[in-house]
Amino acid sequence: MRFARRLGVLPSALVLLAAAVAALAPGLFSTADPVRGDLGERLLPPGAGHLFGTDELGRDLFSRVVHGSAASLQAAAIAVGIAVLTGAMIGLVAGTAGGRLDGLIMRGVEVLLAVPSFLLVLVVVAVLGPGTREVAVGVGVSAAAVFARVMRAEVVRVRGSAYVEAAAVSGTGRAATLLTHVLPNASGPLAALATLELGNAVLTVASLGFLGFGALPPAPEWGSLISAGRPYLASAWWLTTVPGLVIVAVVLAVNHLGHVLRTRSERR
Amino acid sequence: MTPLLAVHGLTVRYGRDRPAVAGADLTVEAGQIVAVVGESGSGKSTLAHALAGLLPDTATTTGGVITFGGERIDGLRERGWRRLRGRRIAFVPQDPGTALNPLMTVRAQLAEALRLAGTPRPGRDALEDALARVGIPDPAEVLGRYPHQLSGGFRQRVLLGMALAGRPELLIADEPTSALDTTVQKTVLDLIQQVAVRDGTSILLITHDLGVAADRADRVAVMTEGRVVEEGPAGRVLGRPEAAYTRLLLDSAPRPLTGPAPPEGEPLLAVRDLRKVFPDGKVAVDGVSFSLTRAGAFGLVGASGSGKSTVARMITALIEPTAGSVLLDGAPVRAGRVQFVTQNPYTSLDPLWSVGRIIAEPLRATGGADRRAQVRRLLEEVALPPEVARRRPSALSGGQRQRVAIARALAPSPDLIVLDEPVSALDAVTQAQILALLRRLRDSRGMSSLLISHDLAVVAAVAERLAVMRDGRIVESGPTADVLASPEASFTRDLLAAIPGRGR
Amino acid sequence: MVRFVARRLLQAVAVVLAAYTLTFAVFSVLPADPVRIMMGPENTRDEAQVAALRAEYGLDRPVAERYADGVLGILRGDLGTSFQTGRDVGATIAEAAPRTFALAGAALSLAIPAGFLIAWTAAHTRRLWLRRLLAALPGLSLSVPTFWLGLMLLQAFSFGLPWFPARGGLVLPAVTLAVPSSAFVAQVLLERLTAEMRQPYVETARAKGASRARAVTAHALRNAAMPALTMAALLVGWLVSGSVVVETVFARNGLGRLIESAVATRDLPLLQGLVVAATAAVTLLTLTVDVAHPLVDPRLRERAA
Repeated sequence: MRFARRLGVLPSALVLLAAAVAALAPGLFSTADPVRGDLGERLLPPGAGHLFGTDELGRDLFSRVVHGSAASLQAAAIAVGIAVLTGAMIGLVAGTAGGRLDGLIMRGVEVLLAVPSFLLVLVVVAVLGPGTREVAVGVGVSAAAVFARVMRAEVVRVRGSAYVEAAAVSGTGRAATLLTHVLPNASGPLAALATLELGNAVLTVASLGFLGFGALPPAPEWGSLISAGRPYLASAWWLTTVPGLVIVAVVLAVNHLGHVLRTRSERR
Repeated sequence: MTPLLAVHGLTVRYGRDRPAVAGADLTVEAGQIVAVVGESGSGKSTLAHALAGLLPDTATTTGGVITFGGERIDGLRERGWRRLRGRRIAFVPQDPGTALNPLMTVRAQLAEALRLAGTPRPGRDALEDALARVGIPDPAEVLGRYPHQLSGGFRQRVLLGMALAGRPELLIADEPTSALDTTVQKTVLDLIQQVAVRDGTSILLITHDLGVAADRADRVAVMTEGRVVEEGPAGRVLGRPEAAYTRLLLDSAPRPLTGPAPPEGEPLLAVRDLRKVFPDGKVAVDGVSFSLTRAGAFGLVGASGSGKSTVARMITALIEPTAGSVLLDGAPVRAGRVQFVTQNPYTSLDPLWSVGRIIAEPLRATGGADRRAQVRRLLEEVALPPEVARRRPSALSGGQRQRVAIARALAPSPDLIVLDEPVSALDAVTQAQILALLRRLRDSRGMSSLLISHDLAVVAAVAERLAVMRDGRIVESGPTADVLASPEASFTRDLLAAIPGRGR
Repeated sequence: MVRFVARRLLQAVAVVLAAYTLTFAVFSVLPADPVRIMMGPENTRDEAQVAALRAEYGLDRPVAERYADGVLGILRGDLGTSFQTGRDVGATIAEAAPRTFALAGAALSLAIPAGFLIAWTAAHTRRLWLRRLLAALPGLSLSVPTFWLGLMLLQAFSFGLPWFPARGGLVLPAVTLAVPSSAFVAQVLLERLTAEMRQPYVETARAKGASRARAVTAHALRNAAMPALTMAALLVGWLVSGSVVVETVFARNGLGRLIESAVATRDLPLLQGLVVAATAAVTLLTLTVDVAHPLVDPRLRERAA
């Protein structure tokens, strides 16, 4: 089992690396123009000339997927960044303060958790309007509550541990204990959760793109690419199938790494 | 005559690891009590599970023959095992706290056992009888209870009652009493022994405790590293051991200090009328007073829940006393002057820190010079090699971890070290080594220590004076030798009588 | 017990009101006001028109007054009036709900048995390859975007093989929604079951002579069910996001489409009403599970009393 897990880490890491490179330097993968197409090459199936085929305007789908990874992955990464930073901060304050402030903060977190998170994202998007950054903020805000809860639980767990008790007897101060024992030990589970949340964020960003609330056309984004292929579902299968497979591959890779991280932090 | 159970060359592996049981041999005759003695990791529990067909899926039996009642059972499939288990071979698990289904009443669980053992529709009489047979005084009352409403001893009786439901020929008991307090332990073992005599049931008793084996078993098998290294009549094996490992195990049993207690000098620690009431109204400690001589070792003995750990926490200033005083050299305890070593060496060390950093932690707080040299010196004092400093706790054994915890406690040169159950999570041999270390530290650096344990034998092996606690109060105190020789309180007498190995 | 239920009920009401407060704060206290948000930045040049709309929706009243009105409205069951249609939000939601309930009901009637079956089989089988396969299944399903799955099913079973209609049918949308839901059920349940299977009481049951199936069903599953049920609220969250995309893919009317159009047209009162309604549903479910928990677990019964 452990061997099988380790075996899966390398392909997952490679998929992620490829996606990250595509997002940062799409030119390395594809020189074709993702926005302007050749009308003479409309709706070509995947083949030697066009790896993923072409769309109704003759644009190279591979290039559009590669260039789309920037919008999709950036939004997901920013969302997780927002969620981790705000959530961890809130959880840390609640866990260290304890008492009434803790109770008050966690009540607020409970309310956020009671609202279905996709609705929360949509509320933010409704206020801010469509766009990659707007979607990122929405996804990040809606996921922050989960991080707050996990961070608080971790802080409380570590603070109650025998080694923190030993630190107290050793005369280590509260602030030093927080920095050297509590934060490092709480960060393992948080990192695992952040990785798993990244997979979720990619899916949510794609859903919003599909619904038309994501990146504004003609910029490509994975979810909106699939949406754009809908009219050709019966005739040009690759327009919807291929970008979806890319999303599945990336999310699977991220989730796999997240599970490995989680197992590792639980084993300690 | 063929023996009831015969095991030859049994080998069991988990995955690709070294075999947990490596060619073990064992024989149990009808009506005998056979004890399998070994430390954790010796393979004794895996052997017990293999004999009940209860090995986890990750384990594979790669060799050996098991015969039961003259028939081979080692190659049995699930269906075959189900005809044996509960009817002819019964199994009592280790921890009665988690071995009963928390959502089902005793009635439901016992009825299930009786049904599976062949009584199609067990009536009230059959259920009550099953409990009465394991010494439960009011079966009708207990039947309606849920497991969490019963004490540990009663839960273990219920488990035993379920195991005996099918009148089995063989009862396998895997450390049946190691999770129980000493006095409760004795009553449960009495009961098991009684069953063997009354019903002629053979018993395979798995235990880490030589004393238990000596008291209860007809024959003893000593296991280490997956093998039975010595087997024979209990008196012979424990009296004239042949295998080197058996001798080591016997030598590791804690022995009380010999010689008279040194005279009481000026008190270093003075505890006066200490009292602790928790917010829920529970009185944990109720008027505890004692004093500890400089360079002395004082022991505090009591069952779980007696309040002894709460006393330790008040002395180390981890919790505030409700009333009373703790004075060190006549003054309130200052930070760092009293250090603490806790029970579980697996949770008391930060898993992310290196051993060197762990030991230096109190030095950082007090500002010590040349920390690395200090750490090396401390490691040497607790008999650990210097390269351990670079390792993480997960790379160390339980005994090594406890040594690290002791080194950390010694680091700031405290006036007093409080040790709360420092060896209860360790095996006999490791336990003996740690107790020897404590005695040596006292001689070499004049360490003053307060040793807290549920085990009178452990305390007596280190402390020259002790106090016995019960329900938050001290019921007896004095020099160790005097208390052992002529215990005054009846509770202390019970405690002494319950120490395994004193029965013979 | 009555006091326990009453206290939990009050807490539930507080949570719903807090969710309302949250959306109210986001919509009204932020620099932008609802009218500007609705019209979009490019159409708010005409200040007179903005002012007129504000007056029409009653947004020129003080914030505190509007908030108090909103809270009182919710306590009476009145969720306000839609910007776009001018209709009562509660009535609009009630009208759209049955079709979504039918979809969710159909999906759950597939997903819950499937999830149970996957978890139960994985916990019970001795075949390691089967256990690994089943344990990997939920993670795989949850890595697939739901909308894409719907499109793939359409492609295969409406256009490829003409078995199901692309519009109007219930089978394909229900299956689409059922896949992530069953994965969710299986994942939560299997995690709990695996933990329970390691508990010594399962070994005790087997030592009594119980079969593996009996040990899983009568003992482990019973202990795993309640903790798994506390995750039901998250399942409702799944169904909300799932219904938005599934109803869009299969062009079905319902709550999901209503949510989508409320966001697209920036109909804030409607969206607010939907948030309050969804939160109420989640909270009510959580409440039911919390109240049911002590009925199953005697340890909690004593604490609740």
